[in-house]
Amino acid sequence: MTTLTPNSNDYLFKSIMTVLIVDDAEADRITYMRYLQGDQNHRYRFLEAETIEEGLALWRSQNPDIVLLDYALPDGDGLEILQAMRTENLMGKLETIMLTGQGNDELAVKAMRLGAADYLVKGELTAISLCTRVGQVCDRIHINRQLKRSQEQELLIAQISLKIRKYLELEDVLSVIVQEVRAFLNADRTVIYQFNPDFSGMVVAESVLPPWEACFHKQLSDEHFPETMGGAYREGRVFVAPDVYQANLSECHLQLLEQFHIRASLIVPILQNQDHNNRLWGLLCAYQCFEPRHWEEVDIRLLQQLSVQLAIALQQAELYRSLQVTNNLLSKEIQDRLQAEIELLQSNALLEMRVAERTAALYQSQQEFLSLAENSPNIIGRLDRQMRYLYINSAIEKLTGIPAQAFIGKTGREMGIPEENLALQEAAVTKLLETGNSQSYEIGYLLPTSKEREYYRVYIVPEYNHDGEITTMLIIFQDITPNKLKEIAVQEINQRWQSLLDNVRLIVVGLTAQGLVEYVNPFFLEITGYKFAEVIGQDWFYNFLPQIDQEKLKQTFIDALANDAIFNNFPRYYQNPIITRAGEERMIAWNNTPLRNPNNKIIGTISIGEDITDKLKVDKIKGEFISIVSHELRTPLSSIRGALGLLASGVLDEKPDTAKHMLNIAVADTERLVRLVNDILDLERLESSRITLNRHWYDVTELCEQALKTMQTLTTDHQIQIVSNVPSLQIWCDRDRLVQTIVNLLSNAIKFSPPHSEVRFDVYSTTQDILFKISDQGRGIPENSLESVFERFHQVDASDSRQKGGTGLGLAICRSIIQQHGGKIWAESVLSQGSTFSFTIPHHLG
Amino acid sequence: MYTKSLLLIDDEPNLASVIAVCLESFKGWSVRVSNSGKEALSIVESLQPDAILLDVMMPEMDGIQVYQQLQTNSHTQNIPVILLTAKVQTSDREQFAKLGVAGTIAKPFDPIAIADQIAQLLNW
Repeated sequence: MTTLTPNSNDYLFKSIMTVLIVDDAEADRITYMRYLQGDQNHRYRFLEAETIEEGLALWRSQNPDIVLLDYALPDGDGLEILQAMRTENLMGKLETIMLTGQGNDELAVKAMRLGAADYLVKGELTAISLCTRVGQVCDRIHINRQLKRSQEQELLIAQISLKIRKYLELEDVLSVIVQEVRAFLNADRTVIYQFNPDFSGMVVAESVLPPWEACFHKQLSDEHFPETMGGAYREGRVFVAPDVYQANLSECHLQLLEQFHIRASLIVPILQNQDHNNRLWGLLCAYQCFEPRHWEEVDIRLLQQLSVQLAIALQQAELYRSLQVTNNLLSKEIQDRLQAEIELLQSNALLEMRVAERTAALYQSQQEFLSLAENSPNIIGRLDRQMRYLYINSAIEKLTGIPAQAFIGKTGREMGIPEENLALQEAAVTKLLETGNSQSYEIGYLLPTSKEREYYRVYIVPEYNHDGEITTMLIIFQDITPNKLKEIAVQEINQRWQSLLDNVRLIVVGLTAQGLVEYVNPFFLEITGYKFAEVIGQDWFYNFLPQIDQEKLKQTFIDALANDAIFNNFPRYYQNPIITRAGEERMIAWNNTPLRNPNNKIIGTISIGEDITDKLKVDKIKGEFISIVSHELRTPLSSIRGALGLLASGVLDEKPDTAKHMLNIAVADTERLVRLVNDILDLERLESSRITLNRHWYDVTELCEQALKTMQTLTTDHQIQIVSNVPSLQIWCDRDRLVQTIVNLLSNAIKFSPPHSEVRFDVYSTTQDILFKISDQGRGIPENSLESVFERFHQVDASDSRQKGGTGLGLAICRSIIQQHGGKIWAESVLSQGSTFSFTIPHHLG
Repeated sequence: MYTKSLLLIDDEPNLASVIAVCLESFKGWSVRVSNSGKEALSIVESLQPDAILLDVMMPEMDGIQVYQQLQTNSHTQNIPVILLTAKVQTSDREQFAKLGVAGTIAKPFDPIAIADQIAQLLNW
């Protein structure tokens, strides 16, 4: 420990001993005082008494440290004083030195027994012996006092420690310390000074004796402190100033001290151990006012020890404070929790009340629902995830004939529900569990009793628990039998209509009021070559009618539909052509019907159309045919009639050549008429299939020879040579008809060949059929007539029939015969070079 | 003695012969027969007949075409034309009348009576 000791003067360190001299001889008293004042090691103050009474009075009032007691006193002997002092001061040692006469050892022993500390023989007394003896007592007293003080100090520290531990608030601790220390040191003022971080500071605790002015809570600052950062104090050094004026203090410091009349000061630092570093927290100061003071070693140590205690107290206080904060927080939390608990209890109570209410309401509601469920015509049940019935209403009994109670805890399968229904239910439940969505499906159920089929729509609805999991499912069977039967009936009717629309060989077109196509049947698509998607939604008029009709018909349609009055005049039956996908025009005979909504407003039309294109064509052909036939028949008839009329009139009687010519004409035209009538009838029979081919196996060579033989006259007349190449082949045919065909083709070839030319007649066997080819070297046929030459009266040149003796029906007859044989006939030609007519007869496979 | 000359155009040679003989025998008219319209047009201008008997239904060039050709030529357009036709419906008659022909004689006609019909139509 380092101690600051500014200008140490020994006397300041020794206490002045008070010596009571009880002696009736003034001279002796003066001598003793002179001797003792000469002692360099001790300082004395003196009290003088001449009698026992005076001596005791001073002893009692002044409490001297040492008593020099003469034996022989005017009012008694010295032993009496000792006796009295001993009686009054039992506890203490009587620091009394007895002055006795020479040789009176007995008296000395008595005095020692009464508690005297020593004795001196008056006659032998010298300055040295007196000083030595008194000094020894002095030292002993001093030592005893120090010992006592040390003990008291220990006690004080122990007490303070206890108090520190007793008082948790720092202010209390500091207050205790300053009070105890001041009392112990008997100082005028003790303060505890706390530094701020900038080394300014404040008195935080003070104990001060009156009349000194208190400086508690005063801001005091030493301007040097910030510079030195507390200087030596930080190292734990103590400042000891018995007299501040000799402590080499700065002027301002002295002024500060003077302000509080401080003369002596003892200051120890209060250091806090923080993170293994000492922090200067403050100072513990003891001051003596007005006069210098010697600070005992023990006092210094006391303050040092107290500063340690203070540091502990600070730490403790901090801990306490943080504990208090924690406690506060804790208590706040406890408070809060208590409050929460109370609220919880209240809310629980409320909840319980509500639960009770709700339970009652639920029970009520459950009863109502149960009543609803039980009286529902629908079958209502609840399933668990394994599709076991948790509940089912009594309606199930009507369906299955089994009481509802029997279903509880069972699955539909266990209850014998038909597998087809269960499969639907299982599929729906699986989907419901996957998606979480309600499911519905329809079932037909054969009643076990009546064997009638009933229809139900089944709804399965998920039920969730608090965790959002599906725990159960509602299953509801709604009887839809009446609707279903109606639906089935409607479906059947619809199917019938649909089938009719799909299969009818009539066009059906539905239009909206705007003239857009809403429906067409398959026959329309077949006729037009369109696909359904290409038609639906299209404007009927602008897409499917000839351009020339579009505007007019559309306007008529729109007007008619907008106005019932007009619609009544709208032609229900009319004909107009439509355009196919390929651009072909087809004439359709329409029958229109308006479509009305429930308010009787026209919302569109449905039209049924008959494709009359072919019929018209046939009619036209028929008309043309009749026209041609009548012409072809009337012309020879006219000549015959004219010629015969002339002959009959007799005007030619004088002109036999003319008459003969007329007769020949009549004969020739009669023959022509016969041929014509025969051919017409023949063709009619062939084309109406009223004639059946009389087919057998023949040799081709034989047939061809027969035909060639018929041609002989003609070839000779026309000077034509027929070159034939006919292999021997078996052919399955009608002999006469085939010969007729060959003859017809050969005669045509001969008639259209220039004289002296060749007609080739070749027959080949191919893999599939027998091919006949007849070629001439005639004028040829234009390409656009190669097909039409096979049609009736479609000679390339109409006059040919007259000139060549034909009827205009030969090739039509040939084509009909070949087609009836399952073969084909066609013509090829190069103009001016000749034509080839070919036909095939299929091999007959048995 | 001046006799009427006629050009008979008909592709039916037999019928044409019979008509020609009838007209010559009963009325003494001279009749030139042509079996095609084309041939007839080539000779009509030089022939300058008093009247033309024209068959309507003929191959290559029908009677109507022949008549229209005659109308385009100032030397032939005034020659009266009588059509011989099997088309005897009212619509056909109206159509022929519009053309400006002198008359139509329906087929089949009575060859004995045809001369009188022609004379009546032409006011001969």
